[in-house]
Amino acid sequence: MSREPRLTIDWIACNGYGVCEAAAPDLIVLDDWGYPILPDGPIPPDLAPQARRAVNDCPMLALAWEGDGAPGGGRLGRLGGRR
Amino acid sequence: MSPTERLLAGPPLDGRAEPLASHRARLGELPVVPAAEMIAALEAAGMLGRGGAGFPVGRKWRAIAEGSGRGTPVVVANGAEGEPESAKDRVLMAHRPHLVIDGALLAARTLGADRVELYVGREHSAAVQAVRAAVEERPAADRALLHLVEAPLGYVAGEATAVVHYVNAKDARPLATPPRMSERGVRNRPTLVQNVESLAQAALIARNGPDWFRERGRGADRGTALVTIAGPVRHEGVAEIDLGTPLAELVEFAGGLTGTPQAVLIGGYFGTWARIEDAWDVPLEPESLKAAGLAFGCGLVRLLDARACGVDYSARIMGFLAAGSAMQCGPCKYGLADLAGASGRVAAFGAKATDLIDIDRWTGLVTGRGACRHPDGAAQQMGTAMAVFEDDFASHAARGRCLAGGTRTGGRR
Repeated sequence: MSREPRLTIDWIACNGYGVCEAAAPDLIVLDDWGYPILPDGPIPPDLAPQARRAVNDCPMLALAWEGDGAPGGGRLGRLGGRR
Repeated sequence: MSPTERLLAGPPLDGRAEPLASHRARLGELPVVPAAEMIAALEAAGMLGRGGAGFPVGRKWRAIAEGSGRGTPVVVANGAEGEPESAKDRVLMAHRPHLVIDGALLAARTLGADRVELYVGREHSAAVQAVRAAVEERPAADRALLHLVEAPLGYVAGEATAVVHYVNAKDARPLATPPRMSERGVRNRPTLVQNVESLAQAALIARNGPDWFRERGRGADRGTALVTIAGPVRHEGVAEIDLGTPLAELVEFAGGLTGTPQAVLIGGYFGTWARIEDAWDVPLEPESLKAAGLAFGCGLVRLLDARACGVDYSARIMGFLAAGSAMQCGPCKYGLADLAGASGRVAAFGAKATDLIDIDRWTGLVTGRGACRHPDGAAQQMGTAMAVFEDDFASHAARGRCLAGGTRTGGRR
């Protein structure tokens, strides 16, 4: 069964570095305290590349992709090799 | 004397726990009910959890019985009661410890659990003593299951994931979910965290059946419930009511008014404020309260006298809840602190020009943005206070005057 892609966040892990906003400026804004405000609904297809970048760039691994089209290789793939 | 007595039937509430012999003479042994039948009975009774969230108890037990969690389940009886003005759980545990233990053992039998953690707020010393003594009175087979854990101080220490975290690792801060506690909780096993009143109710349903349970209640939500009434009434304290009893009747049962209430906080410090005229005839039950934009929560009914300042009272609660944050999630840690700061300035006649707008905006901004619901509850209290005491907030901020008579040298409570 297909599931619409969404961004989810582990609030305990998030430290408010704001890297996600830089990676996905059309999708994520920061609140008064520097923590991300995520879009309510599913990720629009044209913004999926931004969302993937935000998930991959989160230094706390707090931001996650839920549903179809998760970033290729996932976090471990990135940590494991591309650098 | 309560208007209705089921949980509180039996010897007078004089500070002494009912001994096992009296409990058994009155109610008999806990009957052996097959698991499927017991869960069906809870569902047929339609009982909602009494800890604050109001989740259906039968559905919660079924999720564990039929869940995909691995290992032998664990039952946690949650008697942390960190809500400062609520007293119903501590009164129940202090006077009817065996009914609570019956409920916990019933849950253990039904779910096949081999461990029961009795999680009792350490500041409720009478309750801790009563539960400890009650465990000692039990036969060896029961005692082997029962473990008393004194819950640490703190508002969030009773939150379900914080309870599990404390039992596992002596750290009473909430955890990120998933995993759900029903799948991986205490010792990574499926875990039922259930409020002590809910368990006591379940122990009566096991004895009398769901139809008996539903005989009481006046509206959609059935059964009786413990409530705590505070404020300008003759007898403040805990009472058992038929769900759906209007606030006006509860006040009557509490000996009537000793002042002129202007507003009421229903449900707890994470609850909702209402103008007294809007709440006076509303049935005290989850469904009717929800329809009126209110919440039953943990059953706290806190009347605020007309001479007391609602701005000051709600700001103090905001300060308490900000300090009670586990400080793990940014929006809760910083947002509640800013809300407490701004509302505190308004209360003390030192408002900044942006404070009222910021309070309004921040209550929206912290909602739904934490690992647990602590920020949501804090925002609900603050937001409904802003609506109910709207004129007084404005007067405090713009004119440095309190409409309830508080002065610059300190609001009144």
